[in-house]
Amino acid sequence: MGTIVVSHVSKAFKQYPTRWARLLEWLSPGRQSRHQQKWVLQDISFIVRPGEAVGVIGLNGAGKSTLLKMITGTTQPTSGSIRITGRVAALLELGIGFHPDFTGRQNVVMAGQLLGYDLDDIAMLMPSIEAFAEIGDYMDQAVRVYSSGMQMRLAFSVATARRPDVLIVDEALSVGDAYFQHKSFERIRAFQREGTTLLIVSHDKQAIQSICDRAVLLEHGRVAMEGAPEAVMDYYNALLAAHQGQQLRQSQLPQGQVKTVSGTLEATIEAIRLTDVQGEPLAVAFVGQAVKLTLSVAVHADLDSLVLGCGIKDRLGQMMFGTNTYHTHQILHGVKRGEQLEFEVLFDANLGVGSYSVHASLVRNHSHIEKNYHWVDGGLVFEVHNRDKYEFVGSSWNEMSFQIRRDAADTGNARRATEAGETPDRPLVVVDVGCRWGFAEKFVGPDRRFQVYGFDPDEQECARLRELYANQAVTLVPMGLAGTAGQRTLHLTQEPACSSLLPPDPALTERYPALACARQVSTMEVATTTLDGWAEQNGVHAADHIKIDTQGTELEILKGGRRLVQTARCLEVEVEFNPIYRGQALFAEVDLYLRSQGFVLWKLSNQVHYSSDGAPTLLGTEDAMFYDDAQRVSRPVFGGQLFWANAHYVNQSVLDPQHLLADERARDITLFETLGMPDVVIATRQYLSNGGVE
Amino acid sequence: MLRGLWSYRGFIKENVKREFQVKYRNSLLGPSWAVVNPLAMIVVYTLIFAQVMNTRLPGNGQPFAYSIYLCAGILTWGLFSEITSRAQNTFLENAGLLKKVSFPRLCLPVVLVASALVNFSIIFGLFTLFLIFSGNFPGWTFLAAVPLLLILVGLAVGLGITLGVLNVFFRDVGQFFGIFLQFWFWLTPIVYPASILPAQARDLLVLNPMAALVTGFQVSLMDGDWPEWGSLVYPGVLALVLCVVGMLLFRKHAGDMVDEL
Repeated sequence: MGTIVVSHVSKAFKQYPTRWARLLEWLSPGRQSRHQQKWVLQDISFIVRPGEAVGVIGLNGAGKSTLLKMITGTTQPTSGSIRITGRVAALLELGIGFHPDFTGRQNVVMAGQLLGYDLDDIAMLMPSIEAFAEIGDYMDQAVRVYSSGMQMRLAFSVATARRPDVLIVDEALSVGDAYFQHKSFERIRAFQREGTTLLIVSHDKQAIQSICDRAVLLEHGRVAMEGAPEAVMDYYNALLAAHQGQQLRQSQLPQGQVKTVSGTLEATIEAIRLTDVQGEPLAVAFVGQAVKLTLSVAVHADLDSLVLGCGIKDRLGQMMFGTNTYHTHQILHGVKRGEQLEFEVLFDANLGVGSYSVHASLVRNHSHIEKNYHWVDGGLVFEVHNRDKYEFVGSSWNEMSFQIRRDAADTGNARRATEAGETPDRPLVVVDVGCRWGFAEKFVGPDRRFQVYGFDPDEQECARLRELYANQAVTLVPMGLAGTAGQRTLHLTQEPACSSLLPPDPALTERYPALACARQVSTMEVATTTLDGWAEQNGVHAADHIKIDTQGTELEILKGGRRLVQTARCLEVEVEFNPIYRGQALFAEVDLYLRSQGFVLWKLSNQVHYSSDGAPTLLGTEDAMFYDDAQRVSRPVFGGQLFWANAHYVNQSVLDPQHLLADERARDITLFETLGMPDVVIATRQYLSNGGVE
Repeated sequence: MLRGLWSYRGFIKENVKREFQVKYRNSLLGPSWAVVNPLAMIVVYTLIFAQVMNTRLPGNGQPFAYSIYLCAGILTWGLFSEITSRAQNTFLENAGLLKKVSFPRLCLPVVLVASALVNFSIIFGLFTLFLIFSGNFPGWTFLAAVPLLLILVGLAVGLGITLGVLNVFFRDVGQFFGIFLQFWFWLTPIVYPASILPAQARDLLVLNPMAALVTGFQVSLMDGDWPEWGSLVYPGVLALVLCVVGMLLFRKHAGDMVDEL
């Protein structure tokens, strides 16, 4: 069912030199021919198999509509044949021949009958047609008062009221508002999934590329190209710019994408390179990575104006994003023959995992229609991998954060049952990543209110700590944490506590005596895991407090522990303001990320400055902290640049105690008192002392 | 071709219904206009010719005689002219439908003939009631209307389709036929009796197929005589020929038609 076989179809219109010629021809006894044949289609052959979606594209006048008319049977081919099986529904030229004086409803009946439904069928389908068209009261008004969009809505609804075996659509998708376009596309896609054969004529690239399995390009009444939609679309675009003397060339790249080059070649793109911001060549970019495209351009003629366009296309040839120097107001004027130009394009690879290609073009003005010097599609192909983002689908990266509020419907009972300061019944969980020395002192005590997990890749240190906290609720995990699970290189430093998964910057460790502790002495391979991976394996569902101090990899650990981090009430993260380790994330990035996860910065502590003279004796200035603009706490600063500090983050929900369960409030109070941050839970205490009302 | 038409009978039926509705949809008096229109025409002709110009039908002194004579001619001519003039435009008027939807094109003339017959039967029914109540019902000869109508519709359909196809390719046909129809009306003894024409003109009247048909209606409805059957051979044969020509023309050029619309 649902096959279209077009074999050697040609169509000619009769052209008569004068108006009388036809009459003479009709009247002449031997039927002497007085007309010329104007061939609009010549020897067209293609097959659309059941369930396939084929797009027909071409410039205006290429014969697309005539072809569709012949396929739907409203006009006959001059030679050749068309075979079509299955029930056909066609939407030609934005309508299905509505009668302007009939009401929408009457037209639906009429169109339905033309489609082969009987009155009972139509009566049954009417509610769904009406609902899909969404034209309201207009349904019972004459079609003559309809807008073209409304006509199209109704026509589409009728033609697709039942899934046809073959659906033929001519341009109909380009009218109507965006809302209805989406809706009709959804229906077409649904039909496609259920096996409807599709034949679509459109100028809309998106439509062709996102729906069709194949495309047929008509040019001057012949099939100019048939193949994958993206290749055909690229060729078509080049064709759009086909002025005289332009060259058009397509070649197959190793990755399977097709490179299309065209243009008048007054200026040419000689090379396209993709690098990271430091200039290291990339074949693979990571999601969100800052990258740079460098385009070398040679100029072969004096040009009054030159615009570079650049964009990224996905595997299907759909433009992900792109613009040109016209829109950025950077048109080059008076470019001389022989000049060599270099354009650097900086952007973040906010793309989904997959393969992408670079499109670049040199044009005279804002579009390639006027003058196209050089046009390169698929000039460079690169991959995008996901290194440090959570898993996501789609072809663009946009960080999503979920704010989850669980309905606190039964808080009333819980509130009554729990008094302020009551001991929480479940131990508070503390996770300390990069634990050393006597890290858990705060949390250990006879009442075992805390369960502590410490992470350090150094097995010896773990063994020592295990001994130290032998009878306490302290678990030590001799593993390195990172953004991904696997093997990583640990850069061991002079002082083991400064060891990091990132290499220390020798320029700093040699220059600043205080940073000599971070000098690299050796490396070792360590197994890494993610916080979420570990939590899942060990059945840790929540961590009330997470402290991370891992010499530069804090952000990737936070991201690798996204789920666990979201359960935390409080975070303590070592943040850097100047990089000590190469490639480490800085405070600003950590801050942005944690904000997106629902945390707010409460305070910075332990701000550490370094100076190159090594003896921080020089009293730089006196710094002060103000509390509520009233209480001033001053402290001396011994000169030097600010390198790092500890940032304390609080889960936003802690600050809204009225939305918490009674048990949660009690736990918050315990936690923040223990952490020495009682000011965080002032609101909570007040809330409880007011008896749980605002 | 006929089987195609049969499978679209629902479409044809609904279309006739809708055409009738649409015609009077936005009017306050609705379908009564279907009656008022020809009634007004009859009144005008009766007044002007019978009263003002004092025309009397030779050999008939009845007060309604001229009105009946006029109706018998005008109503049947009306049917003929409605079918032919609409049929010659039907393909042009429905260009939008023909270009977009594939369906048996003969549906269009069939719809048109059917709706013309519906209109005709309303007005002719009223006319019949008038005959009965005014005591002028002719008796059995009323049945002569059946063969007469058959020939008339055949003539109209054959001519209409022929013109309809030609009109797609030569738009002059439509313009010309409009004028031609006016002359034809006055060259047919509808308003006036054939007997007032000079003898040589009456001989030429034999060439007009409508003259024999209209006369047949007039004779059978007014005088209660059977039509002169011999005079109907010519219109009957012509109707048959035109139908065949029309169908041949249609079959030959139906394919090219959409290209010209």
